[in-house]
Amino acid sequence: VLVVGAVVTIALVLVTRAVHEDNEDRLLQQRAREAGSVLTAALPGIQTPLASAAEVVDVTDGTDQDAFRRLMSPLVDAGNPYVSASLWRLDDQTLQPEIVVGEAPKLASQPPEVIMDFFDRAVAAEGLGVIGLLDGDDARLGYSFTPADPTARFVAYAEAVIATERIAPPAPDTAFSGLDFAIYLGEREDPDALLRATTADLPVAGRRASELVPFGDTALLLVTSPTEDLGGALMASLPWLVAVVGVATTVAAAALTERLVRGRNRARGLARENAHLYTEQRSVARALQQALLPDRLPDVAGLELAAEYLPGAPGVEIGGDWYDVVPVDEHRVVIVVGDVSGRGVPAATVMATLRYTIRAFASEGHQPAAILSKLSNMLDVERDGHFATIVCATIDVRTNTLRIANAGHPSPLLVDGDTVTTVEAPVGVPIGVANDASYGTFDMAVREGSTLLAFTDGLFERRAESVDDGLERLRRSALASGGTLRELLAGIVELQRSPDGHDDTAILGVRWTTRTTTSN
Amino acid sequence: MDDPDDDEQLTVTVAVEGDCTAVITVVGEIDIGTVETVRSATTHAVDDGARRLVFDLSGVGFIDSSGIAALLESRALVGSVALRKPSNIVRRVIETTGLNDVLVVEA
Repeated sequence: VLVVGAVVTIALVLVTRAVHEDNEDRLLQQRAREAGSVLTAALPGIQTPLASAAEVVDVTDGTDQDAFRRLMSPLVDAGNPYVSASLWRLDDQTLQPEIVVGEAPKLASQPPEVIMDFFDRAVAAEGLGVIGLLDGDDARLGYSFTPADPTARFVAYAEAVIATERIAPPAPDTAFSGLDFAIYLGEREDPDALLRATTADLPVAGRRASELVPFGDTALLLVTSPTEDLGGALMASLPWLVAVVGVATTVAAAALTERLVRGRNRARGLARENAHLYTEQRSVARALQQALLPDRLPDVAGLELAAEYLPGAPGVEIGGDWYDVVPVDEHRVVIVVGDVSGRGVPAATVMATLRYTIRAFASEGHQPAAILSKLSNMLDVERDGHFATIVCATIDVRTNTLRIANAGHPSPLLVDGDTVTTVEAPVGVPIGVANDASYGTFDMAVREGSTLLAFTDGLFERRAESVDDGLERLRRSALASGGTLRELLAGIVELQRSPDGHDDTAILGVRWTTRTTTSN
Repeated sequence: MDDPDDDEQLTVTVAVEGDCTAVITVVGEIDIGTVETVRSATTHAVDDGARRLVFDLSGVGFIDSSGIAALLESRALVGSVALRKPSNIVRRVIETTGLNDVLVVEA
């Protein structure tokens, strides 16, 4: 879905130079689709824990209610968006939950026809059902999961709270300012279904565009009125969207899923061998990481792009490594490789936020040093417990130049024939260490056929070895590998495979190719 | 969560120097599995009245980003944080992470 092709890059140029309504609309559609793909990718993360919990109870024939309680308690722990989890029997005429963990579900206080409608809809959808319980002060979104199995008798259900201030302007002087938008649950601009708006003047008036984003068995309707640089501003609202309805829930759910997968296996008596358990855990972590990384890299004339993400050792929690390629215009892309310190759900959440914020800044046309500098105010290791190292570069395929800035990240390598050089951009402080940090840039001309390799430290880091020795090994591996870009990456990854293999790793390769078309 | 195959050892010793300096000597490998020991020793030292922290890292053979994060976080607890005799491995990690001016070796 994340096809950010030539049409969009051209549109971006036109938006930033001469605003044209058609192009703005096209751009808006594109951005909304990207938001949609993020939300869609996030949904399995919501439904997996619900499905697993329902299964546990189903497998134990409803006798092991403690299992449900034990499994769902972490979901409604303080700090999670969920406040209530409950188990409902589909054949129960009382329409009341059988087990409740956390607060009472708001669903239970709805009229019977509302509850029945919801479960009918959810069963028909054979997957994730979403219901808005938005009236009153205590607005909530409810998620249910019904297994596809027609004999299933249980539905697991959870409710998340929605911020009480649903109408609030975006903070001034941030990437969020300069755009009015409203998000509704469902397909209509129904004031009762409003989830979030930046203006009380609803429905959104003036020049406006809307997009429907699939969301479980329903949809989210985004209505926006572009007031300025549209692409950037809606893009910039992505971190918010992601944080509220998407990735935050996903990553919160993923931690639970690991526990649930184990719980379910225990219930089935399958959890005897660790290898099996690890494989399941790993596949959950991998699925989550994949939801957070680009679906595919964009097509850029004059460049060949490839990337690999390697999850950490079996049983190791998800990491905060990522890569990204953001088209700026028809000649320029911004490439990013970053690494959030620590592991697990919190690191992945920080990673998702940084990744989408960088996309916003990059597509607005900011230079690498400015992107990093703006980013430096978004994270504080003393407050958040995480910092991030990031290398960020603009590549201009027209001039074959590279402009790079570095926030505490391992320097990329440039492979040109049989030489491998380190791209020594001045290294500034990592993101999260200082506010308004400033970064130097380094410009270089790159020859056609050269390959830039940007990566996280998992690719070369070994215990009891200095950084320099590790990088030297990596240089040798790059020289010893060759062929197509994909073969080069695969060769390096294979040669660098560490015996202790603890850390996850991201590697992004960019090869300058001979361009067959030079203009539009 | 448990990490049964972890054979890395980590020891943390806290000594008080002068009025209010805690010298935290770490020996071993600081990573996501061991960093909590460092963090809790640091918190205790501050609770006990330390207003300056010195991390002796001469015996640290490996430090990952979560270890670096713990050092950075400790700056929120006290007015001054310094490193003592960081091993070459630690020093290079700090240099390549752009933290030379942030995690300073004591004079």
